[in-house]
Amino acid sequence: MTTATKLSWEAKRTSETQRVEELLQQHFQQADAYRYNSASIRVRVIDPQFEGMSREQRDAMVEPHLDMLPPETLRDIMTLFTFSPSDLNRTPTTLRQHMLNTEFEDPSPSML
Amino acid sequence: MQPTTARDFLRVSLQRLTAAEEIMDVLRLTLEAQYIGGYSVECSLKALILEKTADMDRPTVLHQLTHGATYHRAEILFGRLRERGVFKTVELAKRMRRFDWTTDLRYETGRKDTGETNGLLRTARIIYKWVEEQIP
Repeated sequence: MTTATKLSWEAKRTSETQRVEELLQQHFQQADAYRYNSASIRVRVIDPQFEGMSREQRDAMVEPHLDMLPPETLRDIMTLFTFSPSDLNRTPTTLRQHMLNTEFEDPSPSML
Repeated sequence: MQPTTARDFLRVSLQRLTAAEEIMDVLRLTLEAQYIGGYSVECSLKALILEKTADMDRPTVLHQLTHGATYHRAEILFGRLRERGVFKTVELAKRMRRFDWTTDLRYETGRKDTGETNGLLRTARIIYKWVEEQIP
């Protein structure tokens, strides 16, 4: 990940998405969130607890915390990525996985 | 023939959805069911966008919706709906968090998780109903 790439999503952080990050950072090692467009907030959570867990199990750990957010924020969270640190060092097993990871870090133009 | 009205898109959506459900129920082909089922969601959302677009703007919007890869993406389509004052429910958003369908599935081989596939098809069915209720 280059600095320029990182900045492209960090620039999309808002006070609302910072509240999402603050909430999740109380429970997980790393939480990133940004507003992609008027209808979509993207969230990424990275934590060693996720090691060896299925996607369903990981999501089930995060969702109860998201439920604490106001409905107007919650209804815009359309993307939730959950990674263990080792997932990020591993080559993605599918093209889709690779595309989705890349899309979080380097969001394509939303045109909105 | 290309769909031109909200009803046309909804009809396409239903045909893709029933095909995907059959592929899953009868053939148990998870990857193919997901690939076809994802298009149902796309067509449902496009139907609602057209429905919520003023008559005079529909030809332009129809052209946009049927040209370019961008409009395969649910995030973009929900953005267009937001511009038209349509808000998804919290429950729908929760389902969409699991919906990571992209047209890139066409390049994948093998199988997908059965539970994940059933979940995607349930999401497609729920979105179809949500849209259908909003189109007279």
